[in-house]
Parts: sequence; C-alpha cells; structure tokens
Amino acid sequence: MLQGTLDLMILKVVASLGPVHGYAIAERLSQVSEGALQLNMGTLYPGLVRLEQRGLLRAAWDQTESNRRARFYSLTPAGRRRLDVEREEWSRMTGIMQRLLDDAI
Amino acid sequence: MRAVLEFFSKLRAVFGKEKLDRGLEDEIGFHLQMETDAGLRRGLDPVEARRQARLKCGYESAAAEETRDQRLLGWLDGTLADLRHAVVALRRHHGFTVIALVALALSVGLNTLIFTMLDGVLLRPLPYPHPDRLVRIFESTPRNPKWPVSIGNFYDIRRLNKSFEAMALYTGDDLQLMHGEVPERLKSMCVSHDFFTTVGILPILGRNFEPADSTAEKARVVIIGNRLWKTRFQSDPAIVGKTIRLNREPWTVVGVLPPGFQHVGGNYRSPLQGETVDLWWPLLVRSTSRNSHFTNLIGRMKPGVTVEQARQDTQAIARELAKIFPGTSRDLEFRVEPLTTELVGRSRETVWLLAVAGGLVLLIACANVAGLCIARSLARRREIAVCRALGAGTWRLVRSVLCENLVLGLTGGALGLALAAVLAPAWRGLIPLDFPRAHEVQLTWTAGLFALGSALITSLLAGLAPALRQSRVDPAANLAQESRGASAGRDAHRLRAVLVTGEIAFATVLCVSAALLVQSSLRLKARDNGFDPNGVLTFQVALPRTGYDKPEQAARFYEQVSAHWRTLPGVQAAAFATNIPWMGYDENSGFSIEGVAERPDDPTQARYQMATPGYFEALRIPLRTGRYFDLRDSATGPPVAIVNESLVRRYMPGLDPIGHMLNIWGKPRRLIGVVADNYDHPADPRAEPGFWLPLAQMPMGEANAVLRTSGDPMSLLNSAVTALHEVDRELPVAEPRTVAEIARAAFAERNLANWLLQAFAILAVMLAVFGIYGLLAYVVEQRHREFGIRVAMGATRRDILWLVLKGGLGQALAGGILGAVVAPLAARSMASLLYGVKSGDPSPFLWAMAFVIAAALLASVTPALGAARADPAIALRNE
Repeated sequence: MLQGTLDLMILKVVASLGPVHGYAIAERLSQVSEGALQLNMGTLYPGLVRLEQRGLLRAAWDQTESNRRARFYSLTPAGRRRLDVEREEWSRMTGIMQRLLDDAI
Repeated sequence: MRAVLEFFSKLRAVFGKEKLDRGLEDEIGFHLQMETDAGLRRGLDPVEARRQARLKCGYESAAAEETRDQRLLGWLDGTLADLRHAVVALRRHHGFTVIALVALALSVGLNTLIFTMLDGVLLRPLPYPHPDRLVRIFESTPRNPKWPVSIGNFYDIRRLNKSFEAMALYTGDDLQLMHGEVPERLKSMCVSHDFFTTVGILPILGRNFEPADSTAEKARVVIIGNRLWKTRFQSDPAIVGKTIRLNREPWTVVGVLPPGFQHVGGNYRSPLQGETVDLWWPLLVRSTSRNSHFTNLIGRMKPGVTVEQARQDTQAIARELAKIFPGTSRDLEFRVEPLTTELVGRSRETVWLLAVAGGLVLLIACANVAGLCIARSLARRREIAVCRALGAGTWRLVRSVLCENLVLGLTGGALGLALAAVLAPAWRGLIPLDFPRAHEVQLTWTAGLFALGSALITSLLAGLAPALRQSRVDPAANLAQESRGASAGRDAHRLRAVLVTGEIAFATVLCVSAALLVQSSLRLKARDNGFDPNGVLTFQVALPRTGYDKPEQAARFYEQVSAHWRTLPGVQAAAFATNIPWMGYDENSGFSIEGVAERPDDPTQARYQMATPGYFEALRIPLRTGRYFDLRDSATGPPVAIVNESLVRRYMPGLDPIGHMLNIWGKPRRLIGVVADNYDHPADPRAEPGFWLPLAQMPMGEANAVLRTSGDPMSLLNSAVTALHEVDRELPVAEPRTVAEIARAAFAERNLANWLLQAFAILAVMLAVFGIYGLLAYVVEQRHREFGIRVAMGATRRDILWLVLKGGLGQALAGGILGAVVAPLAARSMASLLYGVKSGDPSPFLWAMAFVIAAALLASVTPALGAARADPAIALRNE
C-alpha cells in the first residue's frame, strides 16, 4: 500500500470520527473495507507517529467508554488543510486513472 | 518547514526516549487488549483470543520496534550509541589510542602555532578601513627599484591621477620631549596633512591636521598617540590646546589618536607597522624639489579601482612628467604595491615555508593514524564479519569506525589546542621583534577552530580507508580465513606499506629542507662580515636645531663627548657614526672620480656614511690600505674620504686608489683609505659600494655612539650617558643596545625558520619511525608461524633477522628516494632563505637520506629481534 494512501485514510478516519484511538481507526478501516484492510500495528503506529511528527495529528491520553486509558488522535488545523489538499489530489488522480483505463485500446 | 518540525520532534524523541517508550508500549498493549476483548466477546477462550489478536495485529515487540524507528532519528540515536561504544573501545585499546593521540596532539599543536603566525601576518586584514585599497607608491629606477617619492613628484601625482581618493607623505623625524625631569626621545612621524584621512582613522580628541599646517614654516602643532597620552599625560581630557616642550620649543597639542592606532610602517625612515609611533607632526610640503627623496608615499585607491589600474595610471603620469622635466625625470617610473604585500615583504616566504612544513607534518601524522586504524580494523575483522553475518548494514559499519575517529579527532584537537595554548607565550618570544606584524600573532578563536578542524579532518581522513574496507568485508571468507590463520588482509597491508613509504618520503623532504637551512647558517657563520659585533655598546643621539645650528657646534660636541668617553675605564675605542652595519641602511648618493670617466651604463653611486675618528677601530672594520680617520680630519683640515673595497673594485678597477680625488657634494675630497666590505644584511650576496666622510667635515644632527669595551658593554651605559650629559645636560639617548644584539636581530628570522624546520624534521622522522615500527611489528606477528617453520627447516637466526630488516630497509629506501626526488622542488621554493648552498648540492640530500634510513633501521631492530627469537616448537604448537 502506498504510504500516501495510508496517511490519507488515517486523516479521513480521524476527521470523521473525531478524537479516536488507534484500535478504533484500524477497526473503522477494516469495517469500511469489509475486512479487506487489516492494519498491522507495525504499519498503523509508525504511520500515526509520522503524522503526529509532521504536525498533522495531535494526540492525548484519555479514558475510553470502557474506562481504559488510550491515546486519542485528532486533526490539527494543518491536518485538516492537508486532508483537503490530499482529497483533491486523490480525486484528480483517480479521475485520470479512470479515464485512462476506460479508454478502449 | 514541516521537515524542520519533524526533525526537532525526532530530536526530542532521542533525548526523552524512556518516557516515550513506556507510552508506546501502553498504546500497543491497549490495542492488543481491545482486539483480545473482541475475541473474548466472540466466545473464544483467553489464550486463543490473544493468539488470534496477535495474528491479526502483529507482535507487540516488532510493532514497537518499527514505531520507535519512525519516531527517533534512527541515525542520531545510533550515532550516540556508537560514540559511547567508541569511547569504551578507545579506552580499552589504550596503546593504539595513546600513540594516535600523541601524534595528533603534537602535529596539531605545532600547526596551530604556525597558523597563529599565518593568520596574524598574512591573513588578518590590516586594522584600517578597507585596507585592500591602501597602496604604497615608489619611484623606481633599474638600480633603485623602490625609492622614496620626491615632494615635487608627490604634488604631480596627486594632481594628475584618476585612481586615488587620497594620498599622503610620511617620513620619520624623532622629537625630544621634555616633560618632567628626564629628556626623552620619542618615535615621531612627519606627515602631510591628509595622512590620517588617507589611512582612514581620525583623532578621537581635537582635530586632524589642516592644509595650513603643512605650509606654515613655524606650525608647531602635534597630534599625540594614545599610549603616550595615557602614560605621560595621565589621559588628560583637556590636553588639546595645551603646550608641551618638544626639541626645546613650545608645541601645541591639537589632537589625540584613538587607542590601538597602528602606524602603516615602511622600510625607509619609518618604524615598523604597529603601535610604534608616539608623535605626529606636519611635514612642510612647500618645497617642490624633484631630486630629494626622503618621503614615503601612501595612497588610498578609489572604490573599485584595482592595483593594476592604479599602476597604469601612475605610469602614464610618469611618462608625462618625463616629457615636461627631461632633466630630473628622464627615466622616472612609479611603482605601486599593495600595503599588505609591502609590509610583509620577504617574510611572506618564511611564513609560507613554515606553514607548508607544518602541513607536511600534519600529513605524516595523518598517514600514521591511518596506519594505526588499518591495523586496528584488521584486528577487528572477525568482529565485523560477525556483525555483517548478523545483518549489519554498510553504513552502520562505516559509521562505527568513523565514530572512533571522531572521538579521536576531537580529543586530539583539544589536546593540540591545549599544547598550543601552553606554548603560545614561548612561541611569541621566538618570533623576532622586527618580524612584520609580529604583534598580531595571537591565539585567537580562529586558531582554536583551526586546531579542532584540522584534527578532525586528519583523523576522519585517516579513518576513511579502513572504514571503507570494513564495508567490503566478506563474512564467509573472513570467518573461514581467520581459522586458517593465513596471511590475511593483504591489500590492507599493502595500503599500510604505501602510507609508511609516504611518511618516509615527506620526512625526507623536511630533513633535506632542514639540512639546507643548517648548511646555509653554517656558511653564514663562517662568513667574514667585515666587522666584529662583540663588545660594542651603541645608542642614538639627535642634536636639536637650537644650540647646534652651526656645523662647528655639532662637530665640537662629538669631539668633546668622544674624548670624555676614551677616558672611561675599559673603553678601547669610542666614536660617533651615522650608521651601524646590519641596521637596514639604504642611503645613496652620486659622486665622481677625478680622472675616471663615468660609464653611462653604470653611473657612480654609493652608500654614504659619516664617522668620527675611532669608528673603524671600535667596530674592528679591517683597513686594507691607507689609513683610518684621525684628528687631522677636522672641520678645518683638508677634505678626505674613506671607501670600501666594493667601490674600488667596481669603479676604479686596476687603479691604486689612495690619493685619488673624489668629487662628493660639490667638493673634491682626497681618498685616504680603503676598508673591508660590510653587507647591508648578513646574507646579502655582495656588498654595495660605499664611502665615509669625517663627521667633523659633514656634521649630521643624528648619530650613533659606538663604544668598544673590554668588559660587558651594557654595564658601560650609565657612565657613558653621564659623560655625555656633562657636555649637554638636556640631550636624551635612545635605543641603547649592544652591536651583538643588532647582529642577533639580523639573524633572528633566519634562525626562527632554522629551528622550526629542524623541530619539524625531527618530529616527522619520529612519526615515520613509529609508522615503520608498527608495520614491522604487525608483519612479524602475522608471520610468526612462517618464521617458526623456516627455523625448523634450518634457517639461522641471522637469516630471519635479515629478512625483517630487509623489509624495513626496503620501505626506508623507497620513501627516501621518493623524498629526495621531490625535495629539489622544496629547495627551490625556499631559495631566498638559502645562502651559499645551491639547491642542486647533493650533500644535504645525502645527509637527510642517511639520517632517515638510519632512523628506519633503528625502528626495525626490535621487531626483527623479536622475529629472530621465533621458537619453532611454540610457533607450530600454537596451531
């Protein structure tokens, strides 16, 4: 999977679910992809750290509904802007791909 | 921006590692727990739930490891670990460490000192605004390439040039200050009014000179230097406008210069560049003579004008003047030199010689440390092969080696800097006082950076070859080879041998250079200088105008004082003269010889000096024929002259000189004696023609006393000055010293180069010896088994001894010959420092090679003896 793709997925999930922990992100991706995307922790957490280091995500420890301590991620303003840009770029890219593949050769 | 953010975030992670690590484990633990809980909810038993969770999400440890890698600056974290590891390893292998550190510290320390000289003398800009725009301008003829500019020509250049913003004249003319009880002669400079504007630094108190000061006959105004203001006038803030007593007349102080103002220096009637002048007074520039040359010219070029443009500009002016004044300016040319070039002069070569010699030593040290590193990398080969086999990357291995050298370099640099700091005072003491810009030679932070930088570069360079080799280590071959105990790492060994050969070659070059200098100084010592500097006291007096305005008054003064001195106990001869040999004398005059036609291609011209009877006796200048001056040569006696041998050889070849009449300054003077040649400087290839007139017949206001005594010359000073004050109570004496001191000073720069080159050569040979020793010791250790077998097969101890010695000798010969081939280049570049030795002379080369080879043999003896003791039984049993 492309690194950029994972970043975009994470940013989107965090944007729609609000403050959310790593497990929930993995679950959400698995659920949306109907089990096709099973994120290994060794992929997910480095990705989260990377986004955090770039100032796109912000993380804080908090309690879950089941009263466990977990690290909750939310978007920073920069992360929100980035998501818009990336989404735009992605649509453009898929549009191009679509046209290219539809083209009868 | 984002990259920077990420970098700092990572940097924080490296140093706050433990806390972050715990957080990470918690987070991953939580994730796994949630997944396990989900399994439990599906009805799995706890063990199975955990197993499934791990299957799905991965192992905690692997995930944590990967996340950590992302979070930290992987390389920095690793480097810190490597550095710690390097320190531990260096401590453990202290033999290696100590030798490498000593080599680094010595070579870096010495080079740092040399750098302070290079920096202070050549690199640091002069302390004036835009110093690169300052130039010195000379009149130039084929015979006198750098003459002072006449005032007439100064006016014309200033009027006609297009390249200069400002230009000014200056010439030394000391004044006597009477402030308090003791008269004092102060270094004073007579300058045209725009001198300070040209230099670019103005008085901090009072005013600058004005054009009116340079034209008024009796403008008794003076600007004083900051040091004099502080020491003699207690920093009096109201000094401007006050009157001080100079040359027995009242003068008005009009300005005080800023602290640290440095005079621009010059070779003619000027003290050295630096804080060397106390008083500045206006030069009378009303005369427009083109014949009299006693003023130095300094100019400030307009911004953007190059020295070459200024040269062309002044040349055009010279051509124009030659047309207007064909009489006096027929061959007139101007010469323009940048102030820095002019100041540093021939010392530039000395500085570069030392810098290059120091650089060679540094290179040798580098090769030495590199050899040590190679040996160490061979010893570590097995360890590296294991690391490789376990999957360590190339960069990691290179890094671990370079980290060791980084630590080595930093430590060596710090030690070298400390050594330089300890030696700095002694070093400054070694530099002759009259060395250009000697006062600028200081241990500055630039020198500190240089020390650390050169040590780092040296040690990293030294570590490069082994580090790159490590990256190519083939684990399989090495692990297998080690067990076979065969002659491993052959190419590494070859590289080391090449390095040692290089060390020996460089050491040979340095030894040849040192031998050339030593030979020069031996030749100079054996040279007949035409005078005997030992046992002579000298000091200067300057008779003021007041009280001595008639020539007879001065003549009487000299005669009376000399007579007083001759009665002092221990005094063998006493006299006055305008000059002392080896003080950089350079005053010339034309003259003619009656009955001998002047050759158009070689006009008769000679150095002129004046002396009282007793001068030649006091300096023991041998008489070749005729007689010395005596009491007959008084003011009223018939005019006479004494000449030197050079003058006779050049202008009166084949004639009997005694009795000839010389026309000097419009008066025929009988030639009464011929004396031995003196040189202007000790190493001059030949003496210039010169003549002497009796001081009584041509009285000068400034003269040097010379007193020869049987005892210690300086102990005579007090009684000599007292005797002088009996004749004139208010006359100060200046610069008392022995002529032996002047002679020593004349040799000082040459001696400095001499000593340093010898020290460098010895250090270089020492380092090369270490190199050979290390190499052979390693070879012997590697071939121990082979030697055992040879002995078992019947080789004698002597065979083995010779086998090893031969190796060392081969290295030494190869390096020595290589060095001897390169050395003539070095010899040519230092030609100006050589005397009486041709750069092609074989003996210094042979001496140097013999010395280096002997040292190399000496270094080979211990390993060779070790090899000869090889016991076949033990060597073979070790297998």
